[in-house]
Amino acid sequence: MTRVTRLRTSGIRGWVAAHDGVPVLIAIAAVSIGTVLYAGRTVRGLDEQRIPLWFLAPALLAMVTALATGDRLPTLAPRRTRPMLARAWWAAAMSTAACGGALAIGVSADQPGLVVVTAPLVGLTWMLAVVVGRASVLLGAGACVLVLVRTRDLADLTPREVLADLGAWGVVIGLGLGVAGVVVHGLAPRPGDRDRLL
Amino acid sequence: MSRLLRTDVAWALLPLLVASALVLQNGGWPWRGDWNWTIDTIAGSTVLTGPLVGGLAAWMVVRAAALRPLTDTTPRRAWVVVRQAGLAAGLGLVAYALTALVAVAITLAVPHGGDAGWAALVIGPLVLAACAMTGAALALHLPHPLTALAVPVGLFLLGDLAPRPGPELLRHGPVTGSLAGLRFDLAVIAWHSLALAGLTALLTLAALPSRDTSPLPRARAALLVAGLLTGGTGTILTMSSPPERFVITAERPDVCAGTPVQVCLPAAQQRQLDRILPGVQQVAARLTAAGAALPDRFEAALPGYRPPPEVGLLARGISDDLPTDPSALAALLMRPSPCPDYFDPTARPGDEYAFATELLIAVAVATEPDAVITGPERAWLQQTDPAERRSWVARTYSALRACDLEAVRLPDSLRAGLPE
Repeated sequence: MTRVTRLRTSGIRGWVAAHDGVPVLIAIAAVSIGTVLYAGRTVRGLDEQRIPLWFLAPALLAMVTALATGDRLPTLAPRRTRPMLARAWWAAAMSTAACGGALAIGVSADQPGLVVVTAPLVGLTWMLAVVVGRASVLLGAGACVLVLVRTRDLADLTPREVLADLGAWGVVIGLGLGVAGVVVHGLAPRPGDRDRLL
Repeated sequence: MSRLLRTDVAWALLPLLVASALVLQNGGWPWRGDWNWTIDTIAGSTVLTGPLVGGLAAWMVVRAAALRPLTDTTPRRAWVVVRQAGLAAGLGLVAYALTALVAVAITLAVPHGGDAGWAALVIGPLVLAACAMTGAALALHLPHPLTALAVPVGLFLLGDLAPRPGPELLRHGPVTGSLAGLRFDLAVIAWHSLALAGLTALLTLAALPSRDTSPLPRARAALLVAGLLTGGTGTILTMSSPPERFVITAERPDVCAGTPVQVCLPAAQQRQLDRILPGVQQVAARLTAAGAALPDRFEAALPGYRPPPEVGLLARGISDDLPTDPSALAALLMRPSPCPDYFDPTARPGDEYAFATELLIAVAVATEPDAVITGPERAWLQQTDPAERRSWVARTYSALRACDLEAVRLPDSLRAGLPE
């Protein structure tokens, strides 16, 4: 019994290590805590307008979470039940961590809708990762740049308004598609890793 | 190998070009034909491309960390990280040069003018170099992909939230307002350049692996001395000078057009002249017909320049977001003399002055087919005897011309509605 537990623990630790889980979780925590602490701070965009720091949180969280979408594991039997389950758990865990961070930021910044803006962005990042691997970081980075360039247009926007535009189904579909894509097709291996491992 | 490098370079250049394009898009506003504004926009593109180049350099160093066992056997192994930072900065420079070419071409394609402080462009490559070396040095000591993400975010936030001189060194535009009447302060640019060059030298030192003994001690010493001397001098001079990058010039609103009322703007804003001139002439003709004696010329005020007393002052800054509807253009003509009160932030003409100028604007646009005038002004315009109306317009406008703002009064029938 003890032996089995140890093996399972070791498997989970291996999976987390292969997906850079610990650094990504630390980064999610750092982004969340930093934004919670400075929720009232504003950042000057490119057009000299200022926007609150929490505005960047969904894009930053999606960007950081994208790093957990590439693995160092060989893509053996990607459609078997166990790897699919493992990927499902992993995508759920990372999405929960990112959305948890967004929830904390939203509460501290009095923007409760922030988490539902973060969720589809994280989901889309994972979906993109199925095709381009960790380059899906560009989605969050692009969103970040867009916010900083368009501060004049976005300054008065609230997550509630974004949610009203997206709709609840938009959020569910965005997040669901991303997770489903990862679960079914697997995560893209990092460049060079597949050759080294197989 | 070289093909792989070319593909990587093309992909790496893409986000830089996209960021530059977003800067050049100017938030959807029309392009100004102002040379200094163009130069500031080019240099200001590094607000985005600088942090991206930092991230790119970090990413290159992180990726190359896997090849360390191989590169550590080469004679110039200590300079591998510096060369990668140089490549990232080079890509940033390509994007910077393309941004400059496109920006200059657009400016040449529209009516343009004003002072051109080309020397201010020197700051862009220095910002790119400093950002690239920051990313490379950090990635050398923290070789993880997260570093490549943290570097651009951190550099951008440093450029805004850090104490002096951080924002001054990392953020060189782009300003959104007009730079007419201003020029770059080349001394300030020089101090910033010195500080950035020194910082880059010190960061280069930090990007040399400490355990490696191959680089000549002389190179390390030279970098240290050069970094401390230039960086220290530049930082001290930056901190001891005001944070403004611009100084006032002798530029005057000397591009004039229009008759019977001439409108004069500085060369840097001449693009706006075609936009406002027809509408201004129409409302000027209507004001004249209504009894106002307009000055022959209206000029824009500039930093360090006020029009002479006999010349009218264009009542608002002329910019791309200035509406060109008749009401907005009539409002431009409500300061027929550059009265001292208009330049004194503590002076506040009373409510009656404000309502009276609103009524004058209503008079100027009343005959417009789609003019919407409501409330007591509408009743006054419709019911007052034309001679009485003409007399009030003439009296009020001449009080404005004489800068006797206290004498600007509403017609008696409208004064009753004024707040106490």
